[in-house]
Amino acid sequence: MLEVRNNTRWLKAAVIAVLLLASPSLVKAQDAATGTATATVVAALQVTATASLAFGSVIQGVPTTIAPTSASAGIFNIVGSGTLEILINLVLPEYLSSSSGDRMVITFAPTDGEFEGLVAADGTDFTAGSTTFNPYTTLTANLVANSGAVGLGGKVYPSENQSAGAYTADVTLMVSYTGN
Amino acid sequence: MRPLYLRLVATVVCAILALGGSSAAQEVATIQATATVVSGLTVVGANNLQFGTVTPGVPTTVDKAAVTSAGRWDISGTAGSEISVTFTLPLILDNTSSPTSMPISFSATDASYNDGTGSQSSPTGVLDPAAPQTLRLGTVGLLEIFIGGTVSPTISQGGGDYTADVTITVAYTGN
Amino acid sequence: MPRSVFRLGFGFLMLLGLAMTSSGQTITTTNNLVFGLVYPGQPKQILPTAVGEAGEWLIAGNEGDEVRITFTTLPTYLNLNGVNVSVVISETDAALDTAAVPNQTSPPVSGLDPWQPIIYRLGANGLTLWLGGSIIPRQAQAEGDYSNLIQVQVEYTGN
Repeated sequence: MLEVRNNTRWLKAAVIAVLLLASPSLVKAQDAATGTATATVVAALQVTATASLAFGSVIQGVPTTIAPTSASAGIFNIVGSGTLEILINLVLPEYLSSSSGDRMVITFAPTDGEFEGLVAADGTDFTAGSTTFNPYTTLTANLVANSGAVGLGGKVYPSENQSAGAYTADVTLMVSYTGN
Repeated sequence: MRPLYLRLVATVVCAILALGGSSAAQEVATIQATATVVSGLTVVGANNLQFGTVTPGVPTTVDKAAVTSAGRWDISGTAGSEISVTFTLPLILDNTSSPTSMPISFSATDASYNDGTGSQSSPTGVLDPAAPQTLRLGTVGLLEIFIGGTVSPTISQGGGDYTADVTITVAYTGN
Repeated sequence: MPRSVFRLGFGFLMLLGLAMTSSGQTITTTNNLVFGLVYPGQPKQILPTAVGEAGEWLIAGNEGDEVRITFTTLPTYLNLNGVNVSVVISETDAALDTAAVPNQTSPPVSGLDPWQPIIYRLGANGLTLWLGGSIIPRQAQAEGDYSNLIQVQVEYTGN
């Protein structure tokens, strides 16, 4: 009789042992880990047309120059992210036109572009630390504290017989992040 | 007042959605370049310098203040603009029908100008026609130049009409 | 006689249990999937071979153990305060290496589909798993730091 009970106990123990083996939590057969995916979206670039390149009154036969650091210079202001690098591209006109269709030649010298990492109201805001560039070429520069300003000068050549009146042309600035 | 046109054009360029594409989103803005061409500078010969009938051997002078006989040019342009004035003075008058000539001379005070603040008899200033001058147009863009001179017919000066051209050249200086 | 057999059987079963307990796998995240600076309107792809940028997990366990690796959570967007930026994880964006010194730039097993269970045998130093992906920020995507979770589970297959 004692032997039979002993056998039963062992059998139960064996069954329990098998059940224990089948339970995953005790055997640690799987594990999990959590990682993260992260991204930082930079602020989109915005550029504002702050001031026209204003030659004012010009006289027939007398070429007139505006320096990019003068109060009449054309000004664009760029807002972006931190000190990221940007690529600046100016699309420059070859002449100004009047409402009657007359044209007046305009040219830009290699020193007619200015860039500095600040906010400029007019060309006099550029400091000695600004970068002079040829506005016919692209410029790679860094923003400073989210900001950058571009100044543009130029020279118009009214002919001797240039008809009187107001002349205008568009100057377009395109800016993009380089990714650097 | 300078015309100042501000136009802001923002064009957002759609990025190419190919994965790994390198076209960056651009921002665009446009300013204008503006200029106003001022009205042209014109000069008109308004009155000839007329010595009238002169007597051989007797030098005859016409004063710049003489309203009907002094020469006068009327200049018009942009008010207040600075101009340069240069005289081209003849040395002789030529006979219209025979190859003879009569000397003419201009003194250092033989020209004057009125920018609207004076008159021919009381000009704004006196000019030496032999020297280039820099003057300013008046407040309505007008300037009058007057000129006198002296002809010296010789004792044996042949009769007839004698003429010559007196020219002034004007230009804006840009100042 | 029967008594002895049962005792022996029980003891044998117990030994097996002990052996299995000591061979559990562990999985550790050793690198997050880092897209870094991204620009509005400019998609960016991180390949699983991008060192320091691709997600990386280290699976430790016994050499020869066959494991099933399942990405239980794969993001389709990253989030910042309720604003989402789209993320695409493609069916070739996972790679692994079981070498002692894993080669991330040229993994022997690449182009794996993280959306399906990956079954593989551990090497002498376990297994290193990598995950890439692409992010597609909109033109008007608000600036800021976006994130989301990736969960990976590994289990022994029993083979």
